[in-house]
Amino acid sequence: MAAETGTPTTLTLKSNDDELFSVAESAAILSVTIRNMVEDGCAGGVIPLDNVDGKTLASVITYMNGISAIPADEEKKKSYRDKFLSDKDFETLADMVLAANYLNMSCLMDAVSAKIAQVMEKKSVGWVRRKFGIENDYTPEEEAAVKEEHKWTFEGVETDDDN
Amino acid sequence: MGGKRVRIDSNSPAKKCAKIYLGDDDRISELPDDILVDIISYLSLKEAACTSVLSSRWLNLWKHTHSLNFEAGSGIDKVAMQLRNERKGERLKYIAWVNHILQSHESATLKEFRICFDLSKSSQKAITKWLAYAFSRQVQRVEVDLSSNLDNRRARPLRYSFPKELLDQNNRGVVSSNFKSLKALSLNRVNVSSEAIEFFLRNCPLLEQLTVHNEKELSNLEVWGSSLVLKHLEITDCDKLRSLKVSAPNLTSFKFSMLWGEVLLENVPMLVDVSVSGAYSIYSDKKLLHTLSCCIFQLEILTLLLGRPEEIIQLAEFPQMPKLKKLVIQCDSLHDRSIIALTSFISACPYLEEFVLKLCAYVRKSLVGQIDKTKKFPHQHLKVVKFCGFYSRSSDVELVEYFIDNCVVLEKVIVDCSYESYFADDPVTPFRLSVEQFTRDEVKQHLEAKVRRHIELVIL
Repeated sequence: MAAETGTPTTLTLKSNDDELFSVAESAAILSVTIRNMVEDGCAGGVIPLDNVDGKTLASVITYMNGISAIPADEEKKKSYRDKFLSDKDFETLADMVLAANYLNMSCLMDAVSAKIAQVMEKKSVGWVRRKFGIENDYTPEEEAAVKEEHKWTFEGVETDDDN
Repeated sequence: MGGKRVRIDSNSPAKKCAKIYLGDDDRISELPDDILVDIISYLSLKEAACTSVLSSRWLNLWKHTHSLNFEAGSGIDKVAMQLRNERKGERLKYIAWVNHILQSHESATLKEFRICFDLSKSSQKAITKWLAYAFSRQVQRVEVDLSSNLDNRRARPLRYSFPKELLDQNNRGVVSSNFKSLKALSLNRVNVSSEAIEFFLRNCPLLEQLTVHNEKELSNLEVWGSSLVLKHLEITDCDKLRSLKVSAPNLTSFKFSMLWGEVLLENVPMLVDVSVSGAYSIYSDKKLLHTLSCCIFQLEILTLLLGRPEEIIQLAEFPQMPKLKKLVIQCDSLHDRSIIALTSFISACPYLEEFVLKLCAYVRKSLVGQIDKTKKFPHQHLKVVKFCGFYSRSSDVELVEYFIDNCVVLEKVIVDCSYESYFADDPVTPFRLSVEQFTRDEVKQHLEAKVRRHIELVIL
């Protein structure tokens, strides 16, 4: 471990499209999946991450380095996360949430989930269906029944988009 | 929230058009159910449940969210406005709503559970049942906010009391592991015994945040223990409290109201953020200094919510606070002399970066020429000064000028002419608006010429 040897240990991560990345162990172990591999002694050579592509992994590593450089200050970490995610499109966010889930990085997972939820906030059902390409497989009768069952949800929810 | 809009653009490539036809971000359907549940857990309960209408896949997802936030919306105001019988109806509606959701919700664990409504003793059974439900799901954050807009009326209903039976380990169904995940507990307008609070401190090894606000039965409380991981503690507006002892090695922020009795702090090496409120009859700077004696030199943020102006003058008695970065002072009113006295208080904080003054200056007195301008005190770090409740009295202007003249690295001066905490409920009358506008114009006239170019002057 870095603290014991005095020199920072570097890990090599491999994406599913065979891109290699070096990253400081201290940053990489933000991922519980990677931490477990390190602790089990499986981190000697290259760590293959079969569920993450190179583009997403590069982004996740940027995040790992950025957030681990910030000392224990929740507010600063939060503002870093907000800034990090601010320019990401939905496509990237979806990749990131899958990667964060696979890598078991709860802080990134929570931040990306919250960000995606923000897109859905105060939007009508029709808007969300269109935005996310969700196919409505209810018959009109079924849909009416679901609406009836969840009647309380449609009271007082203001949507700021057309239906 | 800033989603891409579908735009039909004849120049865009065909591939993109095909994608737009499907919806511009159709990836969401590729995400597994548990991630979708994570995502909709960040929506309000109503909005999360709304997703059931999207498609059959979404029908039951919301029932697995790890957050149950029973936000009342406009319900609380409705209760306050209604006649007695209708009030009861509104409360029953809320109770039925919570019961209905808890019956259909299926998540085995909960991160957040929040009750927020004007409820009292008469709903004791229902609320207790809800709390038992939350704790049996290893909840991490619990908030019970029963604040009422009716409390200033004569007939005050009996309050809900935190149920002893919930914490009785001999009671069938109470398992100590239920409390092991609790990280935050917040009670507002809930009566709670010191035994109950001590139970949580002893049995919740992860408890980081504890808030007790507007409580009317506690008389003594000890938040005490070398193994406490508690980081944030708020004990405010507990009228009967006579003695509060705090010793928590990991505490970083502490918010409290001054008591008739004593607030004792000990073993708080991490404490950097303190907020104190003191009704004018209780506050004394001696008492406050006594409470803070073990940590005053390490404080980085200090917030003083004071009752009346005279107290400010005494602040000059404070010792130097070498680490203080942010100082917030809020008072109901302030005479000119007190405003000027602030300058000596501030000069005792050499590393101050931000100063906020919130005044409700309903007395427009004006004295002239109080600051001794021959005494210069250059602040090397003060970057932001915010003055809420600026009335453009001569002393208000002088104070701002003092900062402009003495702060070497000042970046921003914010002057808010419309801040009125004392009369927050008063209607906004055209007269009030015109007074505010008049003040704004005056401020502009007085200050704009004096502010150096690199300082940003914001007038609200």
